[in-house]
Formats: sequence, structure tokens, C-alpha cells
Amino acid sequence: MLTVNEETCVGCGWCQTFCPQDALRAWGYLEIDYKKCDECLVCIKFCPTDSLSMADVSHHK
Amino acid sequence: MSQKQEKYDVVILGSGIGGLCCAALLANKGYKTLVAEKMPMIGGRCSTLAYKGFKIPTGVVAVPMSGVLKSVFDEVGADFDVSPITVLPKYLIDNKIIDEPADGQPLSILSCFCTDKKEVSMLQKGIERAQTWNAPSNETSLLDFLYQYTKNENLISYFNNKCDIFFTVGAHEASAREYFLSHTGILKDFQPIGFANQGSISLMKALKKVIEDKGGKVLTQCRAKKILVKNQIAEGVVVEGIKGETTIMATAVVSNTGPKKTVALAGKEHFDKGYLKEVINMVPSFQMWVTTISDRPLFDIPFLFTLKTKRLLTFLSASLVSPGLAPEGKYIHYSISGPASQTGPWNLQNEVDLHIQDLKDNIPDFNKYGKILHVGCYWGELPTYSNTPITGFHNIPQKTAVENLYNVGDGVSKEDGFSCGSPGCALTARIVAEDIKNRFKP
Repeated sequence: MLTVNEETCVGCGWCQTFCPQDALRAWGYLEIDYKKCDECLVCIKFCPTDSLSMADVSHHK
Repeated sequence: MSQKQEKYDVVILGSGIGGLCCAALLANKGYKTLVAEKMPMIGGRCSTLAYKGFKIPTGVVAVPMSGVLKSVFDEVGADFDVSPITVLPKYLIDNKIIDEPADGQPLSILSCFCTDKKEVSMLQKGIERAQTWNAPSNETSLLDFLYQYTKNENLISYFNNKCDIFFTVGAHEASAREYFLSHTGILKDFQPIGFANQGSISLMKALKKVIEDKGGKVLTQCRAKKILVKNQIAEGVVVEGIKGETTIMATAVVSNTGPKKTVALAGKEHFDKGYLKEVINMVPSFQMWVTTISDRPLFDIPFLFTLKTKRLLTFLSASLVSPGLAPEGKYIHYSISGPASQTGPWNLQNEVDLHIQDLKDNIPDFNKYGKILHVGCYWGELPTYSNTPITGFHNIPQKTAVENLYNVGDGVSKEDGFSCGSPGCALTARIVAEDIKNRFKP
């Protein structure tokens, strides 16, 4: 599951422009539409502040 | 596992304007040059985000058509695909448009904002003294300097706007000294300005091409892990790319990562306490770029300064100059804002709301035809300026305490003036390239 580190994310919106699924929207903070996100990891690669990561949530299932 | 090792004359960390200009200048003179960029794309804050067919700047919206940046492109033979804004900027104040006087005198605009000729004349003379005789103290804010001559709201607003656009800080916080030194120095380069026709990244790609044509390399997704220092002399870097770690030995190391990161990469034990204090005290600035699109131009003026607003500083109708920044039949506009205070607390969401409210209040067709495509905030680790010229500001030099280790970019400046914007970054690159050329041969 894609997660954003709100401490380091500045809201530059670079990830929004690289997301092939149009699942991200920067508006100061970052909104993630989990219905659209297919975990392709492109946004993680392009985040200039290393604020995005995939969190392992399998233990919650 | 054995680590790969390579040898270059110069290794440059970061592919912003400072890094690529420095690399191109040196590669052009025969130095074996490597640029390591951590991101998958080059340019840093002089790059372009391609989104839904539109081109969004990551920082550099427009570039000067002359001066030090252009001189670097001319010297190395890089393509400079920029269309100039041929009409003078205009000012929106109290819902009225004011034209920049065409007489070429930088201070004649002041009489457009204030009818009291005596007050304007006193202010003009005060500014001329500050620029040509004795610059004010670095402890004096621009606002305190202006208050000696005027409290006219329109005049103050004019200077506040100019200061915030070029310095990313309002007149009440900006160093009056740096403001006036810059106006006789680096800011001269800002007339005229233009838009890169394919976005700012095209300029960075042109420099990359020069570097590669001259035998250098520009590697993306190549993150600096360490600057190697032996006996207080830089001797290379360790970088991590897709294929693992590589040690790059080099005669000179140039960092475009900002002085704070340079210290962290080299190890703070190599720097004296005073330098570390100045680096720690650097204040990164906050600015916001909002990109608005429409099916028709929202304003018929390419370059509009917006005065007496809550936050909005400028509204650029880029498609009027460079249609290629938007798909055919569409129009793109960039607006810029900064917070009320760079050093005081600000709320990110509040800043976004105030910027958009200003667009609604000041750009009539925004409400009817405009659609916000993108909101980009830059602060903290991704600042607009790494070192904002507030009162008490220290210019951090290009050279560091470590021999053959330099900084380029907006975090460093010449001793006699803050190096702001794209020409400022190019200037630091030129200074460092000249020093390297004087110190050793390729």
C-alpha cells in the first residue's frame, strides 16, 4: 500500500504528473486515490524528497 | 563484493543549472567530466513536468535572454531555444493595469504608483545612493530602508512584490544590502526574459548533449553516498546507481546538492565551526507555483505583476509567448506566490487557499474559464532558494574548507552579492569552472 511521509513531503506535486493511473493529487498535501493506485512504484522513483514508499500491510489482513 | 572504481577529472553531484553549466564549461575545455543525478530526470528545479500534454516548470519559469546564463550556452555551443517576452511587464494594482514606462529608467515606474513627486524623488535619490555610493547594512530590512523615505502603500507594495519574486522573501525580512547589490549585479541579467519553448528541461538537455558530445557522462538515478576526503583534499565520491556502488576518483568534486548536503556527504569533521554555523543557519525559502489551463487566454498580457494581493506575486500567460507549452488550442498560465513570512510560521493549506483566492479576485477570466492543473509547493528539503537573503544573511562561498571541493547553485554566492535565480546558479558554475581551469589542466 502506497504511503506518504507527511513529515518530509513538501507537496511539490511531481508524483502527480508521473502517475499513469492519475491516482495522486497534490494540493499542498498529497491525496492518494487507492481505488486507482495499482502500486506501479513510478511515483516512488520520481519523488525528490523520498517521501513515498510501499508499506507492508499484509499483517493487518 | 569488490566495488567498481572509475577515474574522472571532475565529478559533479546534481544536475541543476549550476551543476550542468559547470560540467558543460569544463567538458568543453577537455576535462573528463561526470555528472551524477539522483533523480530519473535531469535539471532539478530547472526541469519540466510533462502532464496531460502541458509543460509544468519545477522552478525556473522564465530565463534571461542575456547575461551569464546565456553566455554559458554561447560558449559551449548549446542550443538556447527560448522565445523572449517582447512586451514590457505590466502591474495590476487595485484592479488597474499600470504599464512599465518605456524610457528604460528602472526607477521611473515609481511615479506611476505615487502622485507626490517630492516623495518619489526622495525615494529615488535614496535608492541611487544605496546602489552607487554606499549599500545599506545587512542588518537593515528593505522595508526599514524604504520607510526612511516613504510609507506610501503602493510604493511599498511594488518593492515587496519585486523582492518576493526575485528573492523569495518579503521586504520586511529581506536584507536591504543584498537587494540593492543584486539590482546593480545579477538582476541586470533579468531583462529581457523569455520562456523555453519546450520547457526549461530542454535547456538542461542541451547542456547534457554538450557534455556527452565532449566525452563526459550524465548519469541519472545515480545517488551520491559519500564525498571522499583525504588529508583535507577531496579525491572523489562514492555513488550508488542501478547496478550498485561505484567509487569515482576525481581531481575536483563539485556539489550542486546545496552546502548542507555537501557537508553531510563529506563529513562535518572537515569543516570549521564558523562555516558549519553559517551553513546550519541557512534559511531555505518557500514558494508555490500554480498552473492554470484554459481553452482561451485568461489575460492578454504575458507578464503581469500583481500588487497589493494576499499572496499572488505574478501571473504569466506563457502560451502567448511559447504556444508549445500547451497542446494545440489550449493555454497554460503560471502563477507564483510566497508566504507572508519566510521565517515565521505558515500553514501549507492556508497558503494554497490564499493563492487560489487571489487568482479568483484578480484574474476575472480565471473564474469563468480557468482550471487548475497543478499545485507545486517548494520548501524544506526542496526549497526555492537554499539560502534566502533575509537580514543578517551570509553569502556562502563556492570554495569549501576541503581543497578541490566546491559548491555551485543557489546555496552559494559571490562575496559581494546574492546570486539569485538561474543566472545566479550559472554564475557560481562559471566561477568554479574558472577556478578549476586555473588550478589544473585536463
